[in-house]
Amino acid sequence: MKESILWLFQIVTGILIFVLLGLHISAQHLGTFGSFPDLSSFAYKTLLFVALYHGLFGLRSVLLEINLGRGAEKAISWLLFLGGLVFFIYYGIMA
Amino acid sequence: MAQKEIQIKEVLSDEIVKKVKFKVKKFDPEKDDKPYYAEYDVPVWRGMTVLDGLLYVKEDLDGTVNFRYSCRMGICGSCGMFINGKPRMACMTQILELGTDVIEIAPLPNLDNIRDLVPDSTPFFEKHRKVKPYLIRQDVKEQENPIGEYYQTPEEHEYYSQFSFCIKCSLCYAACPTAASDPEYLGPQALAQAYRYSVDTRDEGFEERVMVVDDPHGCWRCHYAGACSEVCPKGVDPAKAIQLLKGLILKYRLGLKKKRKGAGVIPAHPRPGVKKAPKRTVVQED
Amino acid sequence: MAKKARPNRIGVKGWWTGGKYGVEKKAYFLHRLTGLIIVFYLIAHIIHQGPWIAWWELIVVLAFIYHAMNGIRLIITELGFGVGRPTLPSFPYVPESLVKTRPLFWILMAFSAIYIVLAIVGFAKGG
Repeated sequence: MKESILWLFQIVTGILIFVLLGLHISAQHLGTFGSFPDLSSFAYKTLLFVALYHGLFGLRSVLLEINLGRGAEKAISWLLFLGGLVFFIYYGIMA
Repeated sequence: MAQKEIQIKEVLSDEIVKKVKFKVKKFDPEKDDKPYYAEYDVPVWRGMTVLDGLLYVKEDLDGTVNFRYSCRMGICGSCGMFINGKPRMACMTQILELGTDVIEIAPLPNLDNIRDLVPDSTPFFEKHRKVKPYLIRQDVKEQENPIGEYYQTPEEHEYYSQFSFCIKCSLCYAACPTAASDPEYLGPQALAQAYRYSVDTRDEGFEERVMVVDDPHGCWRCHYAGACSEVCPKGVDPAKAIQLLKGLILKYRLGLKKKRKGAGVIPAHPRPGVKKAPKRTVVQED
Repeated sequence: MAKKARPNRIGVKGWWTGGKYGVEKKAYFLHRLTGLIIVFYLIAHIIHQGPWIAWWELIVVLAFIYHAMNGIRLIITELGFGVGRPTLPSFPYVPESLVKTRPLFWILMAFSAIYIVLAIVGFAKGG
């Protein structure tokens, strides 16, 4: 896929994380400041998905910039993609 | 009038106002294993640039000091050096403005060091060439055999004129943290030029340029550290150009960018009220 | 015969050293560092959902606050908003793309300071 589209997803997931994780953290840890409803199961799964994408794409960005060579970079991209997918299926859908 | 004359005299006087120490990073690949610093005492007069100081060192103290320069007036882009912790043009850096008693001069980082203060700019120029920094037209025949100029309004000229001041001095490339670790990254200069040609109304090669720039080592490796714009001696502001380029490419990928044809040719003749130019006296032979 | 030129690329070190630059470069490095902290925490957190006591969870929350706030600035600027239009530079040139976005950066940093205080207070109280 085009690098620009992948980067657009990075931005979109970033915004989603900002909203969803903000709610999640508030519910988990800011009980002292009032009660916050936690995420629904669907919202939680969405958060898991976008967080994995955003995190692994960010990790890939860093790895692309340390001069590993195009071959290794391609392998890393696929590894992170498949790894993230397996992770999401295992912990998000099957769990 | 008299006051003005005094001022000019003061500025031009070669009176020595200060002494500074030049710490010059030296390296000769045929003799040295490692670079080392050589120190020189340099007398400073008003208006003296770091390049003037280096020329003084070369003429009067040590003829082996190597550096590259040409125009001495910030046009050619040859004398970029790492001066007091920043990439700067030696010819555009006033010693007195630096304000330090010790001036540390090293070759530009992120480019191979050929000798002393001379960097190897070849990879940098190759990146520049990669983004096709020229007008691309669909009608190549017309472009090769022009009959007139292309239309462009002053407003359209402003879309890119800031970025056309680039002198390829590679200071931005030396300052860029991504270029520091990623040799394949196109770098601020090339990306800024990709934008400069892409928004030129005479150009029709945006798609071709996107192929080069929308790449894992293209414009998405820029994360807006801004170092390039801080060091640019010509006010090109590469960071600005790159962010605008990112927006433009995204717009294009989402199908939101309006397609446009390159500007038309201004018919040379006939133009009302203008006499026909005489025939060419120099004829190009193929 | 001339020997080969000396490699002079700064390397990964150049992300935080390599010269005197403005606050954007520090923000760049910090964004990267906090991002890496968060992604490694994320993986660990999904596998094992521990309680909110370990001091490094606080670090992750602080990292997240900074990363989110600076991220807002990056989303806006990297889409080409707020960096200014191309202009004819007058000298001494102050990079427009930087001075125009710096207020946004400091406003967001003020917000993250508030959130960080809240997080620390919440951490101390909630234990």
